[in-house]
Amino acid sequence: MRPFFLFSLLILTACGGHKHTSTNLGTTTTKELIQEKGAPESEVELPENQGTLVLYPEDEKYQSEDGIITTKFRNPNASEKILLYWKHKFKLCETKIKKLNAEESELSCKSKGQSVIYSEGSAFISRIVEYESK
Amino acid sequence: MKVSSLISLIVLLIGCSKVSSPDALVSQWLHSSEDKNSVHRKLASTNNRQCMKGIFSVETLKAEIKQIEKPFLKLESVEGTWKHIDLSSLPIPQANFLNRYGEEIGDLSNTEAIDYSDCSDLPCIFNKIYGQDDSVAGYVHYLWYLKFGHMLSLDNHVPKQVSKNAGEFNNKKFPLKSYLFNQEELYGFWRLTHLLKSPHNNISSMKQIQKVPRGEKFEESDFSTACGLAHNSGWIKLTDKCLVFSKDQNNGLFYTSVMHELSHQIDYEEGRRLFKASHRSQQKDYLDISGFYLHEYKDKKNIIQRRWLKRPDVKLITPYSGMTPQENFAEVLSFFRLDGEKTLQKITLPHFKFTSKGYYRGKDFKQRSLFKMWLDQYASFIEKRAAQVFSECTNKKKCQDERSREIEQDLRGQIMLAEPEGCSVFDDRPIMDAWKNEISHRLGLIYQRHNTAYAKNKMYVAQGHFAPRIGVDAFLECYGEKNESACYALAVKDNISEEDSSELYLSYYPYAKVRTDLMIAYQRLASSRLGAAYKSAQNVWNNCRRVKPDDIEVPVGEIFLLSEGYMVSSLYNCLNTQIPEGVKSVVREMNVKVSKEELILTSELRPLVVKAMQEIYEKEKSKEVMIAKKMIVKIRGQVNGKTNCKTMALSLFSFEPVFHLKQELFEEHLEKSVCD
Repeated sequence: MRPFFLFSLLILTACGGHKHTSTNLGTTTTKELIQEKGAPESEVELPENQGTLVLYPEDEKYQSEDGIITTKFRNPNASEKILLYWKHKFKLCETKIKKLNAEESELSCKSKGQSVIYSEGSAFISRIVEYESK
Repeated sequence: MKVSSLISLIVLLIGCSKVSSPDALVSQWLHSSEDKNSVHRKLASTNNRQCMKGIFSVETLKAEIKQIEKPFLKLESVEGTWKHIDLSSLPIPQANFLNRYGEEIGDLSNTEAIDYSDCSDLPCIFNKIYGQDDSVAGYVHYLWYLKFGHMLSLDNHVPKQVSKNAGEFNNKKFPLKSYLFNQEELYGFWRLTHLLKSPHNNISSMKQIQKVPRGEKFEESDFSTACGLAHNSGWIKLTDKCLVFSKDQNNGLFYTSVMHELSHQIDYEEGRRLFKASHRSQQKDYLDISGFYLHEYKDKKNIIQRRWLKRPDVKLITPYSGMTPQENFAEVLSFFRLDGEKTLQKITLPHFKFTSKGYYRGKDFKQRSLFKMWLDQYASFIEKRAAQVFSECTNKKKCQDERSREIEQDLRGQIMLAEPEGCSVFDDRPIMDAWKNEISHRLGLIYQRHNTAYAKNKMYVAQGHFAPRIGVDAFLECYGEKNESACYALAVKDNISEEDSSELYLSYYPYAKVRTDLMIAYQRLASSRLGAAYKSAQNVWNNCRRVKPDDIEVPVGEIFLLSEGYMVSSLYNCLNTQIPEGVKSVVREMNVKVSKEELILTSELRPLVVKAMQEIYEKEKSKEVMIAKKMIVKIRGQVNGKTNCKTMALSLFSFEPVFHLKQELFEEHLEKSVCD
């Protein structure tokens, strides 16, 4: 069992480009996240009891509410950068496009628990947001 | 020195160099080009102590155009027609413009409204749109295209306007003339053609700069107070509020605004090309250097909040540059070029150095150092004239001093006409004194060098000309090497036998200057093959369309990109795989003999092929909507009026789109016509 576990861990690390965790959004606690990923770069309290942001290198952020990790923000890896990749991935989803500000929009697929942020007119996305799928 | 001895020496020097490589295309191009300063040299001789404003005329513009068009004249002409005009009778850039933009000029609400029948060239066509004969307008628009490769618009359709009808904006109708630029603005654009060089003149994704009707705001509610907008897909639009000048028309919001919007385009293009991202300015190194960071979270309503915050020690060039990293980037790039001194005071030194090195080849554009930049730029003129003076005044100091003063005055005259900041710099007394000292120092060094050589050999004949080809070959040899500049210096030394001469050559043809000039030449060489780029794009497209479309594989590839709409993955992947071969086929037709030239031309031609491909995609996408509209009508009777009309229609509609997601196509274009 042990060599097999080690082997799968290697594959995960090699394929990802960033450190994969077993974080389950909606159930993993902040404590468990820190146990697994190590100490964060910093933690930022959000105003109006909106939770805490736990910041890791490479601009990876986790938002926790009442001690539970609810949302993850991360940069796309090389194969995830083009917007068409996400339109293709979400093509069977009931997607929604929401304007976030003058330039940026969010394309979301709730059933997959994923959103991507992109700028109008750009073929590339800038951010991936992951949350509990519904 | 007699002309004959000068010529024999030039011949000797060319003969002595070790150059034996095959002819580079760019050498032939340069051979048929005029010295780029020659227009203003001629004008300076007849317009003593004038500034740029004083020579803004049809005559000047025609001369500048003729100079740029000259090397195109030897190339194969473009086939086709535009209205009554046989394109093969036009210089290549004029024919290319009409091929590319011919359907997007003039009154687009009535394409027959303007009579172009007595025109036989592009400036005349442009002037007809302005309703003027032989005016500066037509020449400024054409010169802009020649230097920047995109259109300074002259039509009545604004990108992304609400109305489908040209000439309608903000729910009102406007005459064509309210979309056109006035005399003051045309002067501003002409001045910018002199002010802006790389990177502003080589934004491959740029398509057009459009003015909205005079007196109007943007239709987009998010931008109703803005005066300029730059879109990632390659257009810029401006309102009057951006087009404001100082009294002398050499300063004002016009310059910062146009440069600001062009700098946004550089941000998009570099983001796309270097980082596969929407913006260069949002990359970590720029955020660190400019002092921004992103604050993002999901709020209680589950809405993603994203705000750019600034570090406490941030230094801003303007309050507006504190809005976002992208506004910061655009403000810094434009102010840097216009006022280096102020920029240095306002931003951090690392940010200043980053901008200088990354975007302006190490220059700083401080008022008091501009003249040093010009002295480098006009080094060949100084060398030639100094060699002449040395030959004619050998060892006669009075003669040398008098003739040196003439060189200084001639050069100053040229700079005042050709360099937008020329007059303001020479109006400043302390700078003027520093300029005179510097030019006298540089001339002194040249005379001293000739003197040393003469002392060694009484047969020595001073010369002031080198074969540009040595620099071209050295540049090509070093293109893509780790340290191009150092490699270039070594390659020059290797090709010129005498140490003194190679040093002289490097001062005459420094690497930065050679690179800038050659990249402009390659850009123009590539643009001469615009027609072939379009043909190649069409061939690749046709080949890929022959394959049965499916959407099984994951879309991969970042050459041809889609920012809007959809494309099934089999076609998308095929295009991205085949475009490189399509580009190669265009380069092959150019008979390139030097492998590095092949590399450069490939990188210059690729954006042209991709741009053509994007136009094909847009047309095919519109066709698909038309086909779908016709087909959906057949099921209207079965679904209309039913409570679940949309679901029923979607399941019955058997059409499989290639350029849309089926649901999007239905919701955006078809739903109204079947489920009313």
